[in-house]
Amino acid sequence: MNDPELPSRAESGWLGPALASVGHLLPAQAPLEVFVHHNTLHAFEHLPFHEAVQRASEATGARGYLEERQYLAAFAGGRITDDDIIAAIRAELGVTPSALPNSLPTAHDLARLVLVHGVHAETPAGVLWQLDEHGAATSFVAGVAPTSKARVVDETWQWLRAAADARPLEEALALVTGPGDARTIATTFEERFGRPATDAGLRALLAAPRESIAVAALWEASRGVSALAPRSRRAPAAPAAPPCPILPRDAVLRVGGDDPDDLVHPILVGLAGAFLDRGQSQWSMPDREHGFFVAFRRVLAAGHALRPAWLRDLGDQLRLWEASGETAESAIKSFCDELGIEPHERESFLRSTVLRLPGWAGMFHRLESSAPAAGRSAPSVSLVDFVAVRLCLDVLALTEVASRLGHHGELNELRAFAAELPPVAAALRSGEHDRAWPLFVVAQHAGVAAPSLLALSPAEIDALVELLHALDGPTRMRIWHEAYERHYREQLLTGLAARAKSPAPPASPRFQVFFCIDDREESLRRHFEELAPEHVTYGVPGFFNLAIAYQGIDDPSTFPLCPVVLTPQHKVAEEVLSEHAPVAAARRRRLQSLTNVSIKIERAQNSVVWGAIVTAVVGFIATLPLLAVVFAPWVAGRVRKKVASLVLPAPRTRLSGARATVDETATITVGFAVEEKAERVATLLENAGLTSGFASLVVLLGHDASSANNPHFAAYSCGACGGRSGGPNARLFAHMANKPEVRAALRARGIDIPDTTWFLGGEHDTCADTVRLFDTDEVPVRLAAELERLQTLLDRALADNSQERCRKFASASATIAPEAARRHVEARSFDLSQARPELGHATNAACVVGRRALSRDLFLDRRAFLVSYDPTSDPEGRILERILLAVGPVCSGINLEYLFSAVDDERWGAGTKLPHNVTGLFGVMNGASSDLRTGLPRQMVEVHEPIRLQLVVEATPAVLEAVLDRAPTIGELCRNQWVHLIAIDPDTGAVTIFSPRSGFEPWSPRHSRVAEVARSADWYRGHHGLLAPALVARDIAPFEESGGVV
Amino acid sequence: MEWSDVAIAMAPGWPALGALAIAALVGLGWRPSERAIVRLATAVLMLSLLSVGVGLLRWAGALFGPVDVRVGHWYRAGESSYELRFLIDRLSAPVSVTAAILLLATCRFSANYLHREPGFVRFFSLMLVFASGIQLLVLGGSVELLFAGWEVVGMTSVLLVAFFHDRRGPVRAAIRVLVTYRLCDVGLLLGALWLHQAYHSTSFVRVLAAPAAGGAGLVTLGVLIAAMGKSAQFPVGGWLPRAMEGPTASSAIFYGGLSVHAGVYLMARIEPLYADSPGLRLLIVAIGSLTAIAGTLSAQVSPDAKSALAYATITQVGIMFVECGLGFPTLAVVHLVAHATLRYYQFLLTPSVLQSALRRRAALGATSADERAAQWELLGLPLRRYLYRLAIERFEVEAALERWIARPALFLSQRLDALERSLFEGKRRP
Amino acid sequence: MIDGVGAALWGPLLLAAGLMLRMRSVRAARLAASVLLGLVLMASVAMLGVLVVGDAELREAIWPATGSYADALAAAILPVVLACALATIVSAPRAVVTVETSSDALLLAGCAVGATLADGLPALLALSLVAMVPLGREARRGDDVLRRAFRFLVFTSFLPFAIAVAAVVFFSARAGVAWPFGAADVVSSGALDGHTHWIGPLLWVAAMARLGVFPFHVWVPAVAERVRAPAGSITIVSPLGALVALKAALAFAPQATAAVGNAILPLAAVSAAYGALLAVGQHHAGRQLGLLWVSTMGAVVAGLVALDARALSGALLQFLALLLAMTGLWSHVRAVACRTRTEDMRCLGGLVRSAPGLATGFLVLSLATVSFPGTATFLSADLLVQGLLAEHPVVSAVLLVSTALNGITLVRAYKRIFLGSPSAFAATTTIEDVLPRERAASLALVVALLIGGLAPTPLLLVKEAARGTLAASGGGGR
Repeated sequence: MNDPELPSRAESGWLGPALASVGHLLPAQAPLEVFVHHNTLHAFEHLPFHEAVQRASEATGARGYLEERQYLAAFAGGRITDDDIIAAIRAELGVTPSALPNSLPTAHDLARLVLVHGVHAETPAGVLWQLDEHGAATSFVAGVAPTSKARVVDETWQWLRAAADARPLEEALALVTGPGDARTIATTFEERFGRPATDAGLRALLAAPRESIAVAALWEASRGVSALAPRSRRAPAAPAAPPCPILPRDAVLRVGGDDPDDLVHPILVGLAGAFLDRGQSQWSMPDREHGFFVAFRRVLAAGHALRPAWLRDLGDQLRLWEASGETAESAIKSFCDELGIEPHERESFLRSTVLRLPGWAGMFHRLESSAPAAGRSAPSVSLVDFVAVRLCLDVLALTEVASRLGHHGELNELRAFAAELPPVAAALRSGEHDRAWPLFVVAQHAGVAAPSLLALSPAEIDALVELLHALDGPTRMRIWHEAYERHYREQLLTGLAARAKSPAPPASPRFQVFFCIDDREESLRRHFEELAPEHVTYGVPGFFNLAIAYQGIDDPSTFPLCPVVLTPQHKVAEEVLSEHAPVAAARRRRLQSLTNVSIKIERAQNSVVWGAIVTAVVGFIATLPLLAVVFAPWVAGRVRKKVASLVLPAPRTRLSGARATVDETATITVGFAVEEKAERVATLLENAGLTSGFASLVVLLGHDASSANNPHFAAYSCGACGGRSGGPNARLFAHMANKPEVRAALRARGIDIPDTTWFLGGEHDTCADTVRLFDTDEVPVRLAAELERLQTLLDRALADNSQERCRKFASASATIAPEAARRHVEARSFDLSQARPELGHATNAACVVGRRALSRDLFLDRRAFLVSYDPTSDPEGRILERILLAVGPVCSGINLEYLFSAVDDERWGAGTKLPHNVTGLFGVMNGASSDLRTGLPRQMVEVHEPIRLQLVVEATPAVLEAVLDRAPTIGELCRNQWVHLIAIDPDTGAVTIFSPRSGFEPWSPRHSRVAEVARSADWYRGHHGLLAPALVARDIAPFEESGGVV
Repeated sequence: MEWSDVAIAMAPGWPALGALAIAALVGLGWRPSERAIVRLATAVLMLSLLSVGVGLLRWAGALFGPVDVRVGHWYRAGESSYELRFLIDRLSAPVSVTAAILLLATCRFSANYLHREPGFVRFFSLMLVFASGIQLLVLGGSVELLFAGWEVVGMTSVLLVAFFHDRRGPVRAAIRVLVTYRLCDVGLLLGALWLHQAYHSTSFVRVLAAPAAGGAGLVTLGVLIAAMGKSAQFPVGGWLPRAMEGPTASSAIFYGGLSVHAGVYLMARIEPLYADSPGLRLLIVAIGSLTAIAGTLSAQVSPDAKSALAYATITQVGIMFVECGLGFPTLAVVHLVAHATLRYYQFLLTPSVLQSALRRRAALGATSADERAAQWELLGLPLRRYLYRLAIERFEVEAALERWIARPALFLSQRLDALERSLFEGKRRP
Repeated sequence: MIDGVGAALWGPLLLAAGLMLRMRSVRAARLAASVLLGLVLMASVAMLGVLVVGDAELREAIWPATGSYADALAAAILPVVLACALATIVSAPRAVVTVETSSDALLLAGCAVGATLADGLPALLALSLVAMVPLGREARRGDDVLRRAFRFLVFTSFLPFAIAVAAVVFFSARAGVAWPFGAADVVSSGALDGHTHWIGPLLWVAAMARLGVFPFHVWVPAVAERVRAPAGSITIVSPLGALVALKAALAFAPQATAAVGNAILPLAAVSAAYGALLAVGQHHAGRQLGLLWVSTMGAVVAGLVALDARALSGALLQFLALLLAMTGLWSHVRAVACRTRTEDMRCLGGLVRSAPGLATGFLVLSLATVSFPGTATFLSADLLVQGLLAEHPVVSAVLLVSTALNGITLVRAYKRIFLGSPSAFAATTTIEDVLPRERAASLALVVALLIGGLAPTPLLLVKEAARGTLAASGGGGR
């Protein structure tokens, strides 16, 4: 009696591991407010890049590279050159000679022709259309070079004339009509050439070289030859067996049944959104603290319901479950049984079930392991509940669509039933369209005529057909992509090599400014340095080595300001100075009452009773701000800010960062002890290579981005601070570094900060291009003039920076003046209608780790993360390892998320922003019921060039090899080619490129020289597109002499 | 016919000309720049606003009495003719101005918002067609003109819901909207024809001043069906949340601003027809209040910003129906104008809900939904579940329509088709 | 003179259709057919111009019975019929064009022109027989179903018509009406008295079968599903059925029409609803268009038998506009079918990305088919329903609902063919967009429909004439 139960018990453990493995495939995006960039294909990181792309494309149906037309356009525009293609082909096909005869071009040349002319297998209908409508059998396809045409025509002409003399008429005709009975040949001949199928007709046609007959002969030869290729090779590189066996839904769809998802998704999405809601709806879902499955069971069973026919029995089933206390796990198992899923199919079944709404499933999976949202009734989230609810609806929907197909029996017989029905469309078979057609087209481009084809031996034909099959869509795109990346790499390395040749003479620094490594700061650093040689900048991760839980005066609670992989151990709060306490109190009071009023009004608008009056009154009042924000966004934004600052005065504050002792026991402590402070400060300074030669003002700029009407605002902010502002970290760092006791401790570590040096924290708004410096009131009086000077210079650099940014915006003129540019970018940060307040990390492509001398005065077009690192003080590579461990995953995460969102924005990105609808305050959908859109919206990535990160490190190959071995995270990224690692020797300046197969290979610049300009603006002004690196000449006039303000 | 008559007639005319110009030029192979399209659209919408301004002056000149503008005939043949006449009165004047201004705002807003969108030209052309339709609907002095505008508004609405036409969701939603609109519009057409039959005129001035004729009830019923469809009233309002698939700007102008209020305007327009019939008034009040109640409950549970706003909008539109039913058409129109502006603005702001929720949370130290949720939790659990289910299943209206109308119709269609095929093919397919 | 002019129009068409079969070059045949149709089209437009704005003398010369119903109707039908044939042959993809195709187009256009202008029933009968030749040939090549459908058409349309014509000839000859006789002579002579009660219904059956009205419609979807060559669509979208109704049934048996009208009206309403209902559920684009045709013809027949001037003229205008719109739709479906080798809408989808031109054309023509304001059908449907409303409110309501359904069907078809993501079953997901000659054809049709909708006054001369004719034939002229 126990027997039947035994096997089920034995396998009862399958669900957990299966779900866990499926969970890896899901997007790991957190709720929007903590948007953090990460590799979209994180689940495949253990595989080499191209293999991972292929596997992920198969699993999700997404495109792994750009579309062919985009590469072709890049080729036409010079973005990819012949050199790049040839190099990429060589890397793909190897340099070994193929079995092709000498009468044909080499395999590399053929591959090049295939790529640049986009030769591909047609669909059967496409070939027929080409033949019927465009007479492809008698005229060259578009784009064939005149020389190739002439060669084909002449060669064929002579051959055919000889054939007409030597062969019987019918055989000769068959050369240009294809084989068949006499009647068919005659009809085809007449149709193709409009002449009678007689000897006279043929000879008249051959009186002169003619395109029509030459192409016809080539087409017939291609057909004949490709049909001869050995059987075993005949199947094209068929798409590998479907990733999963045919499951019930696929079986139904195959025979033209309705899609059960169309029934399930509207209901499921509505319920899932309501369940996960983090504060959008006024009423929260009852019972959601017990989990989705229980809430679903209880809520949907409440009362008698009128439902669509397919959900008729739902209520009864739910009540039954309620009575028996069914769990999600057992429900899933019974659904699998009900659907007749075999044990070996379970995992693929679960995977395909979950991946039908990857965004929602991913959110359940993500929230399962993270802290609940703020608010009252938090849901208890788990993926297994979601799957159980989904399957419950799936089974009912399948029952319905099965009955529409005429199947009324058990669902586990559905697949057998559907297999009997005729499929909607027959499976595609190999044929002329994917065999003869590509051969025909490439032969035209290569100038290979019919006789040359017909002269090939079977083995040679085989090699030729094989080559064309090998160059299938994914392979062609892979080659294109490598060529595309190579072009930029050559440009970048040429630039860096030129820079390394002429190192900048050291100047005694006047201002030292620390920026985030963010690629968007590249231009600001450059502009600031361009103002004078004694301006020195550094790049460090924007949390300034301070992982803190921070609470500002307006914040209800603390939030972490550090990379998401870290958990802050220290709590820091912004505190109001005692003399400003009344101001702070007033601010708080007013803020609360304003908010309360706005909430009351909003609620009243939605209510029945008050709504009429309130909407009428508010509606009339709203007209003015509406017109203002739409028609004059800049003015409206400025006025709004002004009013806000009047109504809500800002009190003076300080950060509470002090604590007496180190406390090892507490999980989170308030502030930092002196030793901790000194340790943090020292590490950062050492990493950056600044341990002596301090300027009188050392500034640290965190960054943030302001934007309006933008659900993805966090994706524009500082990635090193978990999608928030790095300003508090900078402020805290400066605060710490100014403490005498900290400086004393630093001196003990060998870092001597002179008393004349003052640290200052600040925050750069990358959207509006403003800088706010904190605690300027504490700056010693002797530095007041210096501070003023710094602010002037920063303003100037910001204006230049805005100008450089504006060149990429279509709404601004390419020659806009710096001040106008500043106003333009500021307006973007207020404008409700602006779907791209700034371009974010778009176009990021490189990461340079090394001394500033390597990249100083090099125009990198805001495409490079710049990390300060001094190899001279780090012979072992210990500091480098620390830096790469912090920087590598962050930068490659940003880079790869942009890359994948850009190559297929519909499936790996969030699609266009325009229909986005914020759901439950945690995600966006398209419209009212779609999957959650994860990844980046198109407006963020449309100008992005999807290139893997070129990680250039100033270190010797030996040190880097050691680092790769010691740090597996970095090793995996580099060895699997998720980033391209490039070493620049600190002493010799020699460049080597890492290849997983053969280690570091030397590289030398080819022919391109690097442009030199006096100022960045001379290089970029008037250009909208991306620009190659250029050297900004060192001998520039100082800022004052060029008419600047003092 | 004075120049000002022509000017008023051009209020719908200018945008139509603009759209035609774009269509013709694009048809001839013109690839316009975004800037050119925006300039053209702004120009014709400005002209349209000016034309409306002329109408306002005429209206003021008539001391705010109705101004009946006759511009001739579209065509005339024998007894049947299609007169072009426009009516400016206390109903049409404010709505027309609001429409013209909101359209200009949309044009300005979308210039940035739709930058680089593949459907940029399509969006602006459709917006101009819509501008023409809505002005025709509002200013039209006869039922025929109003109907023409009504159809144009409906079709542009459908095409804009399907704006992202290479995705499945928007296209399905658009078909859903189309089905509701088309079937409900039969009511308006029948109403218009009955009106003609009963009053021998379709001019509002004449019909509404005439003593009640026999068919007034039927006319009202027909028109009511159409108004319910367009204004998403109970029980045919299920399409509204699905219509949020278009760009935010078009959701704002259609479902926050103008299109969704067209039904209210229509009911206010024909108010004299049912003013004397308590039964009809009761019916309108009942529909409006049912909608309002269902709408407000659905708004409470909607987890996404646009649906919540859409249901909040329906709630108020329901109340406007009630106002019409109670005999205050002018009040309904005042309400309409203010509400349209407000919702339009709020729709434009929907992408900000997360930012503003975070701000509020910061100011109050809690989610703004908390307090409401607490009140709601005072209800007993079974009642709470029941109410919640009703609200989240949208009062099961759609289920009923699907189960008793759509499904049987499709079933019948398939059966008849099988039968018909069996005539020649000799076999029956399931 | 009209006979002379008429023969000058249709004679060359039929002659050329015969001669063309001897041509060898497909391209040359198509060019010749297009040029000839174009010339005749221009001539017919000139004739319409003469009727509308010409001076009295010229009008008198070309249209002897100026202002008569027959002349006005003919003047309106000719350009439409010729434009349809021309658009079809110009836009047809080369995959479906042979020498025969060009010949068919000329033949069918010639028959339609001839039937429009010819005086006398025997000529009408002969021409409608000739017009079946292309379909007959397709049927011989096609499958069983198509052959049955063709036989059905012959038995329900040609046979009753032939019997009725024979009867009319016989009784007229017996009554001594002078040969060749016109309808007015026969009716006034009373030769058919006592026989119209069976001749009338026979003629109506013939007309309804040719138009494709329930329950005689069954051949239409079968042909629409199976014949991809232009012969199929030109045979369906043909004025012959309407001409049989007007020139035979209404003219020779007006009283009978009044009598059988009460039987036909419900059938017409059923046809409208039935076609619309069936069309909604179709997967095959061609078949769907066939069923839509059945539905729209229901409305037309309802207008024809309502014996109301407004309804009659509305029906005729509707019919003409539908000829143009459906021709365009059929061309579009054919264009898609030749590019993708399928008409199954489950295997299509997402084509708008690669073919926005085809998609736009299809959408606009769809709207023009379903009475969207601004197109010709808006006005005609308005007239038609106004005419029907007073006497037959239920029928008008059915017509309105089925028009609404047809709109849903067509926009849904547009969605399924062109919008969304490509179907999982699609072998071809990118196709070539509209070719220049296809664009020219569909633009011309669209412009004609828009002009008919925006500036309809000239067309309304048909309406004016209709009133007179109804009065003359004693059918009443409300």
